[in-house]
Amino acid sequence: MKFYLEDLLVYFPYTYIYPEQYNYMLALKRSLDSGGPCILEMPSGTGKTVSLLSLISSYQVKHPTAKLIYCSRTVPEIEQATEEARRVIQYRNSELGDQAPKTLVMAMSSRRNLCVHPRVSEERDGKVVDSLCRDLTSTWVRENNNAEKCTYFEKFEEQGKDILLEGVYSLDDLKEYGIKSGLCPYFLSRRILDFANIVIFSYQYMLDPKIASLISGSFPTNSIVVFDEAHNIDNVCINSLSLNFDNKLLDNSLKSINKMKQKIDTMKKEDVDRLTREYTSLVEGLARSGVRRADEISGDPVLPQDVIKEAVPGNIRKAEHFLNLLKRLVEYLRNRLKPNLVLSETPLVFLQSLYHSTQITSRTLRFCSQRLSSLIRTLRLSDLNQFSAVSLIADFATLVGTYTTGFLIIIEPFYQARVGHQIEPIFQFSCLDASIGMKPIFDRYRSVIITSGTLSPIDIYTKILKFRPTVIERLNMTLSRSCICPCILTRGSDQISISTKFDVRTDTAVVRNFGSLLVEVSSVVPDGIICFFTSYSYMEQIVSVWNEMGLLNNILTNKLIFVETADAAESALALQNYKKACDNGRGAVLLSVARGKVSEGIDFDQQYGRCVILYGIPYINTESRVLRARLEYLRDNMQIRENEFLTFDAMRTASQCVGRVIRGKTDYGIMIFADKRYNRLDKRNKLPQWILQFVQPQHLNLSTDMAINLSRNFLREMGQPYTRESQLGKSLWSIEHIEKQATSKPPSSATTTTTTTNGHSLNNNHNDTSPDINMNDK
Amino acid sequence: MSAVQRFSKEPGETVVLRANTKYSDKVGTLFYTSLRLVWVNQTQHEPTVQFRLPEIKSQFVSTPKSARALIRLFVKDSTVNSEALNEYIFEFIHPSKAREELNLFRDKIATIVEPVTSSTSTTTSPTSTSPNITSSTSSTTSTTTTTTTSSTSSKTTEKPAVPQNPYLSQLKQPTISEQQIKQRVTLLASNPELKEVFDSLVGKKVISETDFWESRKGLLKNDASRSDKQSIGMPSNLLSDVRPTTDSQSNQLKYRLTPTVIHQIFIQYPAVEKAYKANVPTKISEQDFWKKYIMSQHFHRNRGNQATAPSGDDDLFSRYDTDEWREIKILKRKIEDINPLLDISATEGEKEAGYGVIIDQSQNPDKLEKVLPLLRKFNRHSSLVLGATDISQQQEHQATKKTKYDNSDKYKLLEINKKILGEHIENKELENENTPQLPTLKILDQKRYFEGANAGGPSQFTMESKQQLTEMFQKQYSKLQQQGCSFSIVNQKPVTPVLSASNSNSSNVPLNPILQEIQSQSTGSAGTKTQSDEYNLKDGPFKTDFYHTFRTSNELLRHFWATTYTPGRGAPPTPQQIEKNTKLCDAISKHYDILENKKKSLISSNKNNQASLFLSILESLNKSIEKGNSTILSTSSSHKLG
Repeated sequence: MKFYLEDLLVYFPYTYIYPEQYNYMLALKRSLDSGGPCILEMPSGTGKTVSLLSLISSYQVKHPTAKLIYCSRTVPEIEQATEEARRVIQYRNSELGDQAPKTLVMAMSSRRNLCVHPRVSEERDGKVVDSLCRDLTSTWVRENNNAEKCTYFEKFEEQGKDILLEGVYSLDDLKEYGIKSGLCPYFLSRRILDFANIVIFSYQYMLDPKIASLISGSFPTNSIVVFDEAHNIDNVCINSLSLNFDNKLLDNSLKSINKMKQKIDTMKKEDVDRLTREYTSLVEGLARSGVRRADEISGDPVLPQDVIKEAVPGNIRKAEHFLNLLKRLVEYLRNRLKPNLVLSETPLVFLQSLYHSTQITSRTLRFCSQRLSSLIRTLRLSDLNQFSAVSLIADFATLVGTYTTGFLIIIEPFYQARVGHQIEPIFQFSCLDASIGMKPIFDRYRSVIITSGTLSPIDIYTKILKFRPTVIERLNMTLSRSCICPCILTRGSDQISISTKFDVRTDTAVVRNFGSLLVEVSSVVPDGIICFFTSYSYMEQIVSVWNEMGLLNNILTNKLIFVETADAAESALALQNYKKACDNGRGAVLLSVARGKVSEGIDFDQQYGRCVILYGIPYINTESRVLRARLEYLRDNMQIRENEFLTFDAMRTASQCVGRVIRGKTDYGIMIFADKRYNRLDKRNKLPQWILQFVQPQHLNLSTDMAINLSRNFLREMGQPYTRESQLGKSLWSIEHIEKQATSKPPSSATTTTTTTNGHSLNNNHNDTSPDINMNDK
Repeated sequence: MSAVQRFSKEPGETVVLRANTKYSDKVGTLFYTSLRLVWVNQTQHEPTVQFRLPEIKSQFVSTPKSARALIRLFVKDSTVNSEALNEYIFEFIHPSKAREELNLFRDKIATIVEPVTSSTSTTTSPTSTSPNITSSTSSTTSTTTTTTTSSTSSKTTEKPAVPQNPYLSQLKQPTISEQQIKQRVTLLASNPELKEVFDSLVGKKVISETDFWESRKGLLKNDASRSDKQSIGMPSNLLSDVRPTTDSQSNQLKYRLTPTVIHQIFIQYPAVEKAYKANVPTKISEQDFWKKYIMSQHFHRNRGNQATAPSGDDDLFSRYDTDEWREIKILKRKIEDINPLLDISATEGEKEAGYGVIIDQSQNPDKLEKVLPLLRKFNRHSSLVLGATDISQQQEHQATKKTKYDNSDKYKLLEINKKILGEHIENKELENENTPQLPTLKILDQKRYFEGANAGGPSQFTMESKQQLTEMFQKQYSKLQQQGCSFSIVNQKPVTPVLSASNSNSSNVPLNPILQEIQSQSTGSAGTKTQSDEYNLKDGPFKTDFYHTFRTSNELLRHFWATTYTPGRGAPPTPQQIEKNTKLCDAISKHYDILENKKKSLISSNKNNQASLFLSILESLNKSIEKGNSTILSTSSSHKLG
């Protein structure tokens, strides 16, 4: 269907629309008109992405230069968004016919997900793929005639310059195109990125300065930037400006420094010229200039406005001098990193003591990152994996030299499973202020849209990201039946209260009650059940105790059990089998971790998730020093009380977990919040409105048997047929309902409005588009 | 019976089919007539081979794939008065239509092989054959009938007053196709209760086979519409996780390892299988091997209770054990064939180690390491049950690298991925046409599924009993399947319209409608009580016997009331109906006597509660007997009047 939204003709690729989609588009449209950041919360599973893409692609008809930069969290989400875009664009262009603007929609990802080289593409580790690719594509490798080359890259070098694509290219489409045409999809995508009307990629390409400076640095400022599933955006910002290392990494970086020294020595004998050339270009301040795409290494770890655009200082221009400086820095860090030491200090204090013992100034440190990448190129090192340790140190040097406020250095012991289960000290350079990373985005782009299913309470986001949105919208879920059954479970069948509070979480009674809850639920709920634990270590404890009690075997008589493990590939397989079990009727239970990989971006629609159990409140461990520091910072600088932030963070994680089961209005699911603390108003109220609207008094303060009864009745009710007629007008609109809206009256310039017997088609003249477009909705 | 010109026909005999065939390497023509099967040599004009149709006991045809179209018939030797069977093989030799002709013959013969004749007299055949279910293996393309014993029930057998044209009678009598027979056979095989009733009533000639099936039209229809049957997979339970039973008296731990359990252990723990293969029976005996296994740490480590594990020497297993299950990352390469919606591993490459903050150490996945083997055990078991790829297969697959993906495979994968994504993002609720494609329910044992759930949740069944039930059912099922039961099925006169109308729809779930019927017929019956008692009765010979009695009674009553004529309602009964009704009445009173005796013996052994269960059945039987007697009286009186 297509309809007017104020003065904008919107092409929406479905016959019906949810009222919240309409309102969402309206808010979005107003925000695009006025410019500036906006924040929109819309219940998950009500078609957020399609509304967003419909509106913006229709907006692009009117404003052809506005590029849409759509950011999402995970690769599956990127793929889904691209498919949605395909549908939207297809419909829009078929409606526009010859008038359709040439459009390129493309997804973008790392080499790992785009490579088609038979050998390289098999690798699962992104870093390995990167470095194998460099082995085949760097300029110096290709100069050597005997070296193995990548045919896809070679062909791209020959022909890729002239290729301009049109249409919709998902990651798979790019790969397919790559295989068919023999052109490297990764480098092709990098090339056409600047021409695309809609770009879909992950947050890192916008928010991580190391990558963003290479990828998105040249996007026009009138672009529309969308952060979808943005409830965790503050953490992404913080992570992209933080780093951590331990003794092992320091050892490795020392090794690489020595290796580079040897390299320099041999080069001095063979090819002194290259070193002197590097020196002169550094004198001219061209540390990063003139780099070919195939040779580029990650960019500066600091935000664009903080990058020093000066010549590298004299004391590190010479390669050996620079390596000596790095060596001194690493040795200093090693001295600081002592076991059983807990310490936190500001960057300024660190710089001071560094200066005292090594005479290295902060100014010199700021150049380390660029200087190192220049050196790596000069030495023609393609196996970057080997030098990742020393790059990290150089990045740290640049960061610590650049930022003095909003950051903190913390040294604390850390459990290391990989190194013989020892407690090793870890050095963390942590960003405390998420707004530092977001600021350049807000400053640069005309429209920045932050949207998600769970952004409550919105005022915390505006505080921690330090922005003033022009449009704020929180949408409810319009429903003609209650398709969510929240159960606030406070006690087991034995009336012993349950909680994951630190002091009681390992009590046998609590663990047993948690277990029998799952056994009971698995016997009444059909198909899929998802359980979320608060942390990996808690899941470990619980699962082994349940196993001893034989509870897991009881569950197995009802449903199969799948577990998310630490390995993403293994978990993906488990997920695939979990869905298979739901499909064939056996039903399954998935044990998973809140904040884990499954809790983000995997949909459990329809039979894949009829019930989700949240064991406890997923608080972050408050013992964490990094968290403490962040809380203090928030309290002192943003007036957010510690508890307020902790509860906010826990509840947004909780609502993300439970929100995974509702994907559409015919979908239904039970949400069990198994912790007595959820019963308190201050916790509960932090849940998004669209869940809260179903929390009735009878859903509160339940024991296990009460919850089972409630679920039974709920499932019986939901099992009844649900027709479209009962939804129409209330939770579902057709074109007639839209045209009744005050905001959807066709503009006054429209000359005629003839409605046929169907009431669906009308002819219309519009200022922007050519006259007499046939407006049949399908 | 001497043959003239082609061959001489008996009075009323007509040729139904003919075909060129070879018999003992001579060419000739095979005739199928209304009475006989005749083979005439090309050069001669009198039958070389001939036998009457009822003498054919079984037929086999060559498989459709075979080059020659052969039919093999087993025929009762009419000359010798014994059960000896003669074998005849005919080859259809038509250059193009041999197979077609064979099929025509096969179908025709099939209708007689399933004995045409029976008690109620519509056929001219003098002997009546009774259906007899015997289990004999049959090849897939052939139908077998076996020994038919000419049967009794002489009082009901009547010679028809008017000799009928046999061909006509065949038309009148709906012949059942081979497919129908197969369907009935499999239905009986898969439904032990139905078979029980079938055996005791049809087998004993109380109810004719046609009537039996006629009243189950709905069941047959439903069954046929189910395209493929539910296939029963592995039980979900973890059988390999053997738990001991304790013997309090002798202070012993007992482990029960059945072959199924052992098989599962091998699948779950490849190391154990390797150890077994290497050591048994050359180095240690099987008994010792399992003893060692149970005492080993290997056995205990995944059970989480490390503390209780004995610290014996573990060399036997640890030697074969690769410790990779404790490693965090198992897969070295990318998984290619994974649902793109679920590939969370695709995202992990985007974040580099060393960057970012570590806020919460308990969120560190490395912490799982200790229980990883346990967690993996569940993932593995579950995918095993599903028959899906699990991580170890992926691993092997990657290790051997046998199958490299070439470009065409890659295209295929990309196509599939696109399809999955496209379907996923499409919001069907907003589409104009939304007919949700629901998976069809394929449940073989509907009763257990539907009634089991009503009976009150999980507490009713303990874990063991559930498992036992499943095992029992599977055993029974597979046994019946192996035997490939086949029956000869009697075809019978058209059934009264009353019967088919009242029962054709209700026969799907046999128990409930029957109960309703009884309730409606006999006031104050305790039917519902019996139903709820089903789950409270203890398993044992009494229960099986009682249920059997109950079902048999119901079947009898069903047929009885269907044939009963109430004056003023429906069409007046035909003589056949009346006769059947009388016969049923007879059977019911016999059955009543048996039950009465059973009840008395129960009371005498002081089992009053059990005896009382019979009351309601007896009551309803009694009602029907009363009705039957009155009907006989009234009909006889009306006859007198007539």
